[in-house]
Amino acid sequence: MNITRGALALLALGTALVAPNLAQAAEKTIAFMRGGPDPYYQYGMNAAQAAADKLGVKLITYTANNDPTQELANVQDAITKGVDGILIYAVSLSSEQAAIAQAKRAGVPIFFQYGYDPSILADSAGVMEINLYTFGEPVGEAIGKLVPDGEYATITGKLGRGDAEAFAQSFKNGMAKSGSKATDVADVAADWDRQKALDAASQIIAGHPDIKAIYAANDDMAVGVSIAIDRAGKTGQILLGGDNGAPYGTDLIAKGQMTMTNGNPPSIASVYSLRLLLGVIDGSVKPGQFYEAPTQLITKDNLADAVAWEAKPADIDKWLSDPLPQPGPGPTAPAN
Amino acid sequence: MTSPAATVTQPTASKPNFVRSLGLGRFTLLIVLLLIVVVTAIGNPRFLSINNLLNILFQVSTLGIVAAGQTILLITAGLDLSVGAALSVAGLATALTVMSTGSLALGIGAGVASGIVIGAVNGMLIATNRATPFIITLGTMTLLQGIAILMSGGSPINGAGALFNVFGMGDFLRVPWPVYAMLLSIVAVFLVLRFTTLGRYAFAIGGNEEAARLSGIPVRRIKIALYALNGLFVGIAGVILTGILNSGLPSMGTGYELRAIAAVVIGGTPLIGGRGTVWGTLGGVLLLGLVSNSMNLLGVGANFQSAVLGLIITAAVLLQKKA
Amino acid sequence: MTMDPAASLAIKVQGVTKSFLGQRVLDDVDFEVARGEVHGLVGKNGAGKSTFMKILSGAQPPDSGEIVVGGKAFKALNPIEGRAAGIAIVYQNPELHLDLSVAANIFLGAEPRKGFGIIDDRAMESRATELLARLGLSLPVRTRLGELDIAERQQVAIAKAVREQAHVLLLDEPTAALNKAQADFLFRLIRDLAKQGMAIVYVSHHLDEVLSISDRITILRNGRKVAVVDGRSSDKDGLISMIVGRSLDAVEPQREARASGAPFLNLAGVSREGRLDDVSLSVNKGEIVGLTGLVGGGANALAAVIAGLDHRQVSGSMTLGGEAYAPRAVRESIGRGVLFIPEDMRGRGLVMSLSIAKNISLAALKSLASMGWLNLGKETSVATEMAERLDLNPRAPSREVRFLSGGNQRKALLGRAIFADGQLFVLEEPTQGVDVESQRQIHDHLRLLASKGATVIFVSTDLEELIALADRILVLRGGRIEQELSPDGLDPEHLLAAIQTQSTRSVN
Repeated sequence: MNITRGALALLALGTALVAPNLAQAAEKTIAFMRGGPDPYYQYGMNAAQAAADKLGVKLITYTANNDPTQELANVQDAITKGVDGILIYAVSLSSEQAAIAQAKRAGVPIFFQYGYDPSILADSAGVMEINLYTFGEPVGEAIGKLVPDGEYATITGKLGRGDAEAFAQSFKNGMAKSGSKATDVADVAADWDRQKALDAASQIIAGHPDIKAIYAANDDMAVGVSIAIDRAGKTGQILLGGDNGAPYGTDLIAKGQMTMTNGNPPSIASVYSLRLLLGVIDGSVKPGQFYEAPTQLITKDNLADAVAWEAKPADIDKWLSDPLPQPGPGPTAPAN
Repeated sequence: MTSPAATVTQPTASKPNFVRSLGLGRFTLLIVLLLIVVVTAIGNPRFLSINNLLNILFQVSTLGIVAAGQTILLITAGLDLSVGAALSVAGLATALTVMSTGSLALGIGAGVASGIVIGAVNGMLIATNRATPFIITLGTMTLLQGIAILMSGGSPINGAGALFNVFGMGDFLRVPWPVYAMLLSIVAVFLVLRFTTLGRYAFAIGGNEEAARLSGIPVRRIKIALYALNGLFVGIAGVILTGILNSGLPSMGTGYELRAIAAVVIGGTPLIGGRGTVWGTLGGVLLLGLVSNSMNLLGVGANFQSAVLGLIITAAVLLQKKA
Repeated sequence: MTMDPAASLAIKVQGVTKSFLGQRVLDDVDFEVARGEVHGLVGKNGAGKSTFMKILSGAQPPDSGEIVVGGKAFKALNPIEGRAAGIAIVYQNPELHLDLSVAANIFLGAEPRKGFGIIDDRAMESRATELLARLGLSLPVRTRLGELDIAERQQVAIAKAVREQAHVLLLDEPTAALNKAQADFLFRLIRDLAKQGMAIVYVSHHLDEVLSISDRITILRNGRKVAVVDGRSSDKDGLISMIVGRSLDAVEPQREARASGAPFLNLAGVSREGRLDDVSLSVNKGEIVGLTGLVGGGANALAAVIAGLDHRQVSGSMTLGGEAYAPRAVRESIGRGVLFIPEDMRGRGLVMSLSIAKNISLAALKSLASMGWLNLGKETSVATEMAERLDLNPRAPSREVRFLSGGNQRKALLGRAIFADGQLFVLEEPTQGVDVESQRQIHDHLRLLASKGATVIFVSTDLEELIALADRILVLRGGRIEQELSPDGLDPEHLLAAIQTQSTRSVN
């Protein structure tokens, strides 16, 4: 009699101890890693966090502070913690390759946002990215139609990663495609930085007072360029095209200081990526596929429909219930 | 007893003979500046337009304010690596205050006050610790970078109200307000260094701290005051930069510390302290601005620009090296 | 002892001359030490002993002369050549690596190695133990040097010299920081080394020791070799008179009687941990007091306490002008009119990057400023007047102070103290390294200040200076005032004898 009661008590106690862990084991843990302090990553993280909360998924966040070694350390740390999957904005291609080697060995699915390379696709849980090589093209086309001839310039981001170069080139392709005869008189790299873009634009305008259009490869820089244009008293005379659709960028469009931007909202992309990663984990989604990130051309006319970077709960709900993005072929660099 | 002293041997300068023979001395910086101006003007005549020249001054104005303050610190044989991060914090404080209270005065007050407080804290740490200012301000720099990110939530704080109108867009007699601010800062530092006891103490502490102490100078207190004074300039620069960019960004001050120190050193103030001139700093600031501007106007590719800038800075420093 | 033939001379120096900034510090000095000889080198401060040692060890080159060692003649040595020639120098505070072990220090640069160049610690330790044993020493070879006391560190330095196969050992004031037992031990070691053929040069102020240990003694005076005497047959008084000599030139003006005022500085039972022991002293206004003694005796420590430089671990009481005086910072002392002029002008006194005027005004800058704003014109005129008064050369107030000679720099420092309204001037070695002309001027100025009511306390090891300048001479030893002497009728020999009396050290 006593033995049975004791055994039952032990069983109850044991279950009480184990049950929460079992329940927790059902809750997935995802590591969200961002490359650095850039607000772009922050918006993505915030949206992913909100989505994770609604899905009952635990999100651990890391930042690599733009340091590839730190990034690798973060990946190792996450694996040791026993996360179910990693969602990552990588700092560089080399750190991606190292990360994916680690993750593969540990059997942890890893999903990349922004940083596509054919070498990492097969072993990844998936990659979601915009098409670098066409990202600026629609903006180029739109502006090209408004500037049939004359001079223009491009101000792009930090060289070396490939995206800055690709964006500027895509804009130029767009200009050509539109049939414009305008010539490109300056190409400057301003490191994605607002102040550097301001200085660069001032110098370009001083050197080419008759310039008709300037392309800034991200909207942060576009704000800087708009200030330079304003100071030169040439708002309206010099057309501005941006890329990525950040809130301050859409502000510029609303104020009439920028003609168009190609939005690349990190919020919706991160939510979709999270869903895809969870799908790979539970087996409903095939790993190793490429997904094109949702982009959206924004002009004065469709401002109201611009996808918010700062996601509201209603947005999160919508994105969680949208159909999952379909895989597609990875972007290839155009033959030069 | 020993025979009386014959002649007193003078210490000899240790500049390379070639340079000495040119008799350049303190004019090397000016000559380098002139060379750059000439070369650029030939390459792109628009360089000499009033517009462009004003542009250059505008672009270096915040750097000039920060470098003015840093000059004082280098004279004390110290330095402050955290000024860049502090500038970001001050700028963010300004932007956040202006956006949330709508008051320009409060915003400016917040920015300037942050700068002073950060400077005073740096000064206290440095005055009471054996570790070098380099190490201490390296630590505070990292701390402030984190604070900047926390303050901004990682994103830019957009809008700076009327500050933008004044500093971003405004000018007086065609010269933008930030340029006046820079010139005022330089003159203020000059006056402090030459005409005040505080400035004199800075030279004494940098030249021989022990001798300063034995002369009754309250070294600790003075150091704190000097670092706080530097903080004042950083705060002002933060307010102005926020105005120029019409936003506060967590990264707005990045790189200012190295460029400011480079400008001061190019200007002839040695790292070991004891001597220095803020006019030289102005020259250093102009050099940095000129080089950057001229490279853009001459169409030097972005990839080359960093390398060229580094070469020119090294050359200017080597030519400036005194005994 | 007859002069040995040249072959058994360990080191022979001929005609060495050296000048610094126009001042001749060594004048045509000859010197020799035979193998197995202990040779003492004596002379008062400024006689040239340390410069000579620096030249012997290679730290400084002579202007002219020749050094013959190991069969080779050198016009100048550098430390590496010196070591290669077998000369080793051991300083008061040996320059060793405190973080390395005893064995590592001994074998520094010549560590026994295993394959791949790895240091063989065990072999190093056993050889070190062996070497120490041969010298009659037993030190724990694995211990960090920093944990040993000075006497033991000296032993390690000597052992290192033996390992380097030095055959000339230069010892510079080796017993300054040792107690009696440690000193005796050192002497035994020295005698053993000499027996083993080592030539030893022993520099010291402690004449008793030098006499007891040396085979021969060389006396330097004013940079010249005055005599070489036999160690065993000489006596202390004879040495003293040769050290001091007869100063026929530079006779200072007759001491004028100066009216002494009321008591100004008073010390009662002042002690400073490890440096001063129950010092009581009263100094009147207008008095000039000279503090002296052997190194570490307490003269410098007392000056530091009076000047407010040293206030930690100080007990007892001081009054200045009748009011309590317990400064906790130098600026408090300056506020009370106590101005300190350090011996090390370049290191602690002057700001070399500033001008004469700016150095002079430094301790009383506030008096030239209103609300923090300096009156540069006033500063220049003050400096001009002061430079005139002190006869500075060059005189232009805007000249940088580093262009001044030692004597003028000292005068500039005095100018700073005067400008700061000094009531009590505390000076360390007021005319150390100063040319004769400036010496006289500085002494005149100090006397003038005293006659106007200021009080002067100075530390000095210059016998003539003490006699010429001080109204009273206090000899300190072991942190106490041992003797008070009046300069009237005192000659340098007797003063030196007084300082040297019973060179006993605390048996500790």
